[in-house]
Amino acid sequence: MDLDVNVKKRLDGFDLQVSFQAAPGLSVFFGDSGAGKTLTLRMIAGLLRPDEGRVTFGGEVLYDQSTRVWVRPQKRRIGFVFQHESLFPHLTVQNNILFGGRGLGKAKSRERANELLRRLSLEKLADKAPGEISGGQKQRVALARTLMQEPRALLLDEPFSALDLLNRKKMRECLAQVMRELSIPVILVTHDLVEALTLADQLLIVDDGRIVQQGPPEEIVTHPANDHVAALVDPENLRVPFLSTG
Amino acid sequence: MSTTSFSVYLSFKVALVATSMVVLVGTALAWLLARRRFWGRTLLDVMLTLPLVLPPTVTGYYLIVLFGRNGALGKPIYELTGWTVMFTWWAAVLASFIVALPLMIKTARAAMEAVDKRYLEAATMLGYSERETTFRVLLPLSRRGLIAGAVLAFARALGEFGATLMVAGNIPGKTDTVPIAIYSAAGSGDWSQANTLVLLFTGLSALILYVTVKLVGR
Repeated sequence: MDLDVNVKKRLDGFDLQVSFQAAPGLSVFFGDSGAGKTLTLRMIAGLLRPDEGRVTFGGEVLYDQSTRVWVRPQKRRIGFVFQHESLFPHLTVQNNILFGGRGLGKAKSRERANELLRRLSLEKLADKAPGEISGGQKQRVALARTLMQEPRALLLDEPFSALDLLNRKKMRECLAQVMRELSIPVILVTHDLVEALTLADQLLIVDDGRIVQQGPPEEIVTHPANDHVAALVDPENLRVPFLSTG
Repeated sequence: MSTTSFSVYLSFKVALVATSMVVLVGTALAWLLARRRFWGRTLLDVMLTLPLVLPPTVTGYYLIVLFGRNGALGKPIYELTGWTVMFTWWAAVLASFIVALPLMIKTARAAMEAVDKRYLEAATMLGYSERETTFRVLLPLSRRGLIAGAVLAFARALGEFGATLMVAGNIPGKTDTVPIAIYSAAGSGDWSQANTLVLLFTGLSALILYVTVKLVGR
């Protein structure tokens, strides 16, 4: 089931116009801050209404300006993990995760929550308050909470950006594991080149409200569409000079 | 029941009933002002804040104009039921309600506006309707503000004097709340009665403020 996106939005002088397809697997939005990556995710989620265009999921129309179709975000069953922590501060880790199981029924909710706690190694934290756990753990809980509803697509808005290196690595492994188990389109926003190059099945380079190039990472690195893309994905950016051996 | 204990009992009864109404109506209005954009929103905000700045006698005067036996609302009520709210303990409730309402609205609204939008968006993305999100996320996260607003409203209702005197009068054994009883006692030179009521009331008010500070923190 593919996510098919074609949207236009004008906002405070910023002009966004993107069109792409996301198949099951990981699509990575890569680009400078302010390029329109988060804005696009919010429009797919239904948190922001585009001015024009069409968003469909496997043939189901979620938004179509020409026929005035608008599916409310609650009804889209799309998971969203926010850049900043969004765990409910008045609920424990376990209850945050259970909150994700709206309409599942008590028994099924508990069963799924316990399974997710185990899979994301969060069991020991179940009774803690969000304020008592680390940033990396919070994002894992947020991911678990989103997975409760068995989303048909997943939008991750720089979920690792506030984490330190070690936790980032952990989160990447955690995401890779989730990706193996689920066969749904996942869109990850990042401006971390390592993430973009190592995780992506499909890389989408976003610049100034446009997708300037899309394709497998290796293809974009070897055949960048223009100088800006070349500069963005240059593997030289990753080189640590004093470690190079030759 | 002695006149002193009747006044204390009446004051608390009036303040409790008024505060319950203030909490329900005030929370709803605070939500409306915090979460909705509509025509006349600023005007509504101004109207609801007015009792905070107007002299209580002016508020009381408006209440007479509205609810008096010949008032815009009072007249049809009287014609239908033969009952008028004026000079009953319900008039004291009405006066306290109107005067205490802005305190609840201001405090609750500030608390709701301080709730980070991403919590509400997170609930939305988990499938929760706006109503569910309000009750399960917004209100729990505004809890301290709601409690503070309720306590402030209660304290204000308990101390209501001016508007109450205008609409409920000073009827011994019927509408003489503590502030009004103090006014009568001092006016008629009954200093021991006035002293008892004043000390009692100061103690109770201090206690309420202490509890609020403890609950809300800092």
